[in-house]
Amino acid sequence: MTRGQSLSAKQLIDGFSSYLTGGSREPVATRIFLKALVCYMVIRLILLWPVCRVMLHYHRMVLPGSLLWKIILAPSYLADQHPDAFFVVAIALAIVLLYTIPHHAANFLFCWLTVNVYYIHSQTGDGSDLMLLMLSVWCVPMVPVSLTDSGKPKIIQITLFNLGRLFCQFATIFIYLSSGVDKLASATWRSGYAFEYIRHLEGLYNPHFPALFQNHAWDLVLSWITILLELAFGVLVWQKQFRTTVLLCAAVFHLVIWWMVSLPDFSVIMIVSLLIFVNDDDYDVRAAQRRVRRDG
Amino acid sequence: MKDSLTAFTRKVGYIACLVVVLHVVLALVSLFLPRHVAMHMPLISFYRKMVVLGPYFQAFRLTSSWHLLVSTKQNGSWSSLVDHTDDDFKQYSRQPWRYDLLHSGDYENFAAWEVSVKDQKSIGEVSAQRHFRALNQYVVHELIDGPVDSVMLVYVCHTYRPDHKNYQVDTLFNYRYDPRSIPISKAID
Repeated sequence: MTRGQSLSAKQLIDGFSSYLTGGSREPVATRIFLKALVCYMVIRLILLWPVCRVMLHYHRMVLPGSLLWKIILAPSYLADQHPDAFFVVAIALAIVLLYTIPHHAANFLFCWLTVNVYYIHSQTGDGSDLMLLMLSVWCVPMVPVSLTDSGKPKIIQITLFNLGRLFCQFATIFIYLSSGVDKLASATWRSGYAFEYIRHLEGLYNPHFPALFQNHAWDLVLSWITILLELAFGVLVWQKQFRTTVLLCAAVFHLVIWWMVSLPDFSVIMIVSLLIFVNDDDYDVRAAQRRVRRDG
Repeated sequence: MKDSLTAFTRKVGYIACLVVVLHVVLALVSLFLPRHVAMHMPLISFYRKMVVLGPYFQAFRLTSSWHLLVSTKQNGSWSSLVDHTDDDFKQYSRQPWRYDLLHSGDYENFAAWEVSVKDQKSIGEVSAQRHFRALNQYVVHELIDGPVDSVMLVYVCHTYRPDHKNYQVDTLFNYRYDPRSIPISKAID
């Protein structure tokens, strides 16, 4: 390796190190993302309440052996015995978290609640439960306000905040990447037949989806749009000139999934996860545009 | 003091960089390593299950759908087989704000699937299973109106065949039994 190359690698590491330690990145956008996540949880709890009440009425929950897991899953046992009591407390807690000032304790409580909702709903849950659980774990260190002014603790808080934010972004990117790679390797997806299968998935495919799209040419086009979007997302989302476009495309993609295959939970959590890629400036620009329109 | 803080910041920064690189490397390894190799490596296996989520909409998951059909016997005659989940889904498609209808059959499908994967053939064997007991309780309390003499549960898999433009139907189980003879799964009101 030449001296120039080793120097540039060091500069790269120093630059990335400064990015992680030199101040909380996009605190306003991160705060909006956290609130959106809690808001999603409140709506999810309200909607899951009648579904879980029926399930818990018949299903015997299996207790884990270890004391630690018994403590972590204590609210799930309350749900097993008194589902209504659990959902009332959980919804109340989530609403309180929605209005609480950002703090690690609040984020930890949110994560604890998510773990329990995941456990209660795990028998019949889908990808949205796991996505919410993982995002809630990475959100624990994400406190967008400074809790201390003293040197070392402040640096640790900032670094953990930036790491949590980065890991939430990676979580979304890895979902697209793993799905894109799998589809690219699948002859069913490459040939467009996947959409013909989807159209015949009873109990999932929306019978009111426009018939216009129900032919092989559209199947092929939609298949390749899906594959390319999933593969390109992780690259384009970091490019300033493509970021807004790719985020909008991904949001539309999930709205179409919601419409086509009746997966509202998954679509909404994925759209919420896209908010972690929005910058503070994006919100400022929109606020400025609103001000301009309002002021004529 | 300022120098020591700068040195600390740099140290924390390098550790954070290392954590990020390790995370990305583990995620990519778990993504591209063949499943049979990854399952023998606990950390990679954990990453595959809990960190690198997906892949979603895998081709093999799109080919089949499962249905629990229920029929009851009263006064010596059997009613026609009813797919309650499918009926609920059709109603949800017309009324998309009825989220409860979308998930109404989730538990029945879960329990039926758990019953189907066990290699137990007779009703005597299967009635010892907690999932079958729960399914029976669910069917009796949620899907059937009033007392019946017997219940028939048929669990089928519909696999779409694009070449033939039709479905291949496989029966995963078919049980006829007196619901009162099945022990309860969980004490309910």
